[in-house]
This record gives sequence, C-alpha cells and structure tokens, in this order.
Amino acid sequence: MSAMIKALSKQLDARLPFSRTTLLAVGLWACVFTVFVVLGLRR
Amino acid sequence: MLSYLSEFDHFFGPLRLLHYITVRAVGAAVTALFIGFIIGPRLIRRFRELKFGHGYIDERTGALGATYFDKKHTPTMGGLIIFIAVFFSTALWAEPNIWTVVALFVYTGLTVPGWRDDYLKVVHKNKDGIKSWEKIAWQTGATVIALGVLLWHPQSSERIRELWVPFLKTALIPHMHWTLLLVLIYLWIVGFSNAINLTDGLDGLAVGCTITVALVLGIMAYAAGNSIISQYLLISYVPGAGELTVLCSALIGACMAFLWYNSHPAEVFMGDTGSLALGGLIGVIAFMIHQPFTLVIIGGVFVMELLSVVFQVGWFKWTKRRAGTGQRLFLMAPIHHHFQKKGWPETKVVLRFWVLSLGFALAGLATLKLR
Repeated sequence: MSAMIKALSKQLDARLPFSRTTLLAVGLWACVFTVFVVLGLRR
Repeated sequence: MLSYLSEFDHFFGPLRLLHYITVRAVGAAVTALFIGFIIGPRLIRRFRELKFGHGYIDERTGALGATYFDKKHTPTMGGLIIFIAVFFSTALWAEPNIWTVVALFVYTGLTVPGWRDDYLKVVHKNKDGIKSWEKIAWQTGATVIALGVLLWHPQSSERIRELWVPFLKTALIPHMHWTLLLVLIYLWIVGFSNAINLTDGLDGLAVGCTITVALVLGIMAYAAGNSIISQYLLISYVPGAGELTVLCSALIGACMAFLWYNSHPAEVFMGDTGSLALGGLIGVIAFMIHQPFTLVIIGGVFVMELLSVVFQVGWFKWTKRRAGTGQRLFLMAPIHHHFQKKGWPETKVVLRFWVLSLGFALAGLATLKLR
C-alpha cells in the first residue's frame, strides 16, 4: 500500500508544473486570502 | 485577524491589547521582519539554483544612458519575499475591512504581472518581458475591480469619492464622479508603480525610500482613522482606515528584512515583482486615507526619479526635432545614475537619497498641521 502511494506520489511530482512546496504555499495563500476577503467585505 | 481574539478578554485579560491598532502595528512589523528573515535566505538560495539573474545588460534606454552596472548574476524576483511577509503579517494582525482587503487585492493584483515580467526575462530570456498591453491590462483590471468594490461597499462608497488636497481644511471635491475617480486612482497606481520601478536601480534605494513612505503613510492612516485626531488636525475622517496602519507597519518590517539582503552588494533584487506592486500599494493606500497629493510630497524621491526620465526623454526628443541632434539634461537617467556618473559611489547615492526621502516624508507629515 505504501509502495503504491509512493509510486503515485512520484508520478504526480513528475506531472506537476511546480514543486509541492510552491503549490502548498499558493494554496495556503489562497485560503488565507479568501477568508480575509470574506470577513472584510461583510456589510 | 488576531483582533477578534480581543473579544475573549474575559477569559484572558491581556487579549484586550489586541484591540489596539498600535499594538497590532508593532506586532505586524515584527512578524513581517521575522517572516522575511526566515524565507529570505531560502528564496534567495532557490533563485540562485534556478539562475534567476538577469544575465544581460538592459539596453532599452541605452541611447539616453540608463544601464545596469555589473549586476548580471544577482537573482531577481526578491519582491516575493516582501509580498509573502506583508501578506501573511497583515492577514494575521490587521482587522479585515474594506480598506485592508482592497489594499491587499491591489498589491496581489500588481505582484502577478511583475512576477510574470521577471519570469519571462530570467527564465525565458525574453529581454522585453511582459507585453505592454498585458501589463496595462493587469493594472487596469486591478484598479477597476478595486474601485468597483470600494464604490459598492457601504463603508467606503461615499468616503472614496472625496478628493482632499494638502493645506485645505475641507474636501476640494466632496463627491467626485466615478470616471474622474477612476482616472485619478489609475494614474496614481500606474504612476507610482513606474516611479518605484525606475528608482529600483541601485542596491537598497527603492526599498529604503519605501520604508520612509510607509512610515508616514502609516501615521497618516492612524490619524485618518481616529475621529478625535482627524477632527483636531482638520483632516478627513475615514472610519476603519486605522487598520491600514497595521498594513504599513507590516510593509516596514518586510522592507527592513528585504533591505538586509538588498544592501550593497545586493544578494537579491526586488525586480518588477516588488517595484510594480509596492508602487500600486502605496498609491491606493494614499487614496484611501485621502492623501493622494501628499504622497507626491512624501514620495518625493520616486517623483524625482520619474520626472528625471520624463524630462530627459522629452528634452532629448525636443532638441532633436529642433536642432537635429538630441541633447541630455542629465548625464544619465534616472537621476541616481546621473550622480553615479558624476563620481559618487553607489552607497553615497543611496544614503543621500534616503536622507532626501526622509526629508520629503517629514515635509509631507508637516502638511497635516499646516492647514
């Protein structure tokens, strides 16, 4: 099972245009920004 | 967002401190500084591994004498360090309201084309970078959306339409038409974007001047957001604008961290990623606190750099048309290169321009009282 996950993970890394760290950072930014905007635009 | 914790001060008394803008501003500055120091070396190392240096001498304005001196291999895109530090620090310490949301949106909206411009230049080795129409499209899009949101939201829809000028006790135009407002905001965002872009030619120059501008804008935002202080100083009262003080403090902390690595000899440049976005950010903040024309004073060094290029190009073209051969007003433009050509060492130019920047910032601050 873990070998399968590792193999899938390697395939994903090969296909992704950016590194996992970059995607994680962008994802975190997007979440924080969305929450900030929702809270800030409340009337 | 930490300000929401102040509502739980009955559980833990010191949480009450998170209600105060001044406390959160200091927190934001320290946090941004900390983030900058943590991610700075990592990003610089990554940029070096990816060889994100310009690798060429910029000759776009070679005929009029603007070039880069021996900085081919220093990595660029360091503006990302400032962006990450400012964004997360502001999100943590500032209370989300219409002003902070729009400011962060404009900052993000202008970081993207700047990053794309740098990416095309260093990765794809495209000397021209992003196409002009694409840059204009991003700047226009960010401005239009920001203004649309400001005009829609009840907290800002009336306030944003006021036009204030230095030395006057009341609004020059209490209710601007949205077209005039759009033109002015666009001019300010694009103008200061380009001004900081031109200023970013010597190690530490642009970011050092940005620190002084952010400091004064932060003080002015605090004054504008406080009904008692604004009434006393006879300036515009903008409810909620005090949160922009937190954003400005985060900007100061981030710029300080970046300056640590950008000081001569620079380990990293901010690139268009930083300069385009910072110009847009300070332009939009100035509009939101009703000090757009004061920004022209506070950001005097940026204005000086921009005008030096405008006058150099204009004079060259005019004299060429009249006399057949173009003449230069300055030895080189932007003006910091003129002083380098005169023999001033780079660090002397930078430090003297910082002194000028502080002088302009204090002059801008003085306009709060001279009404």
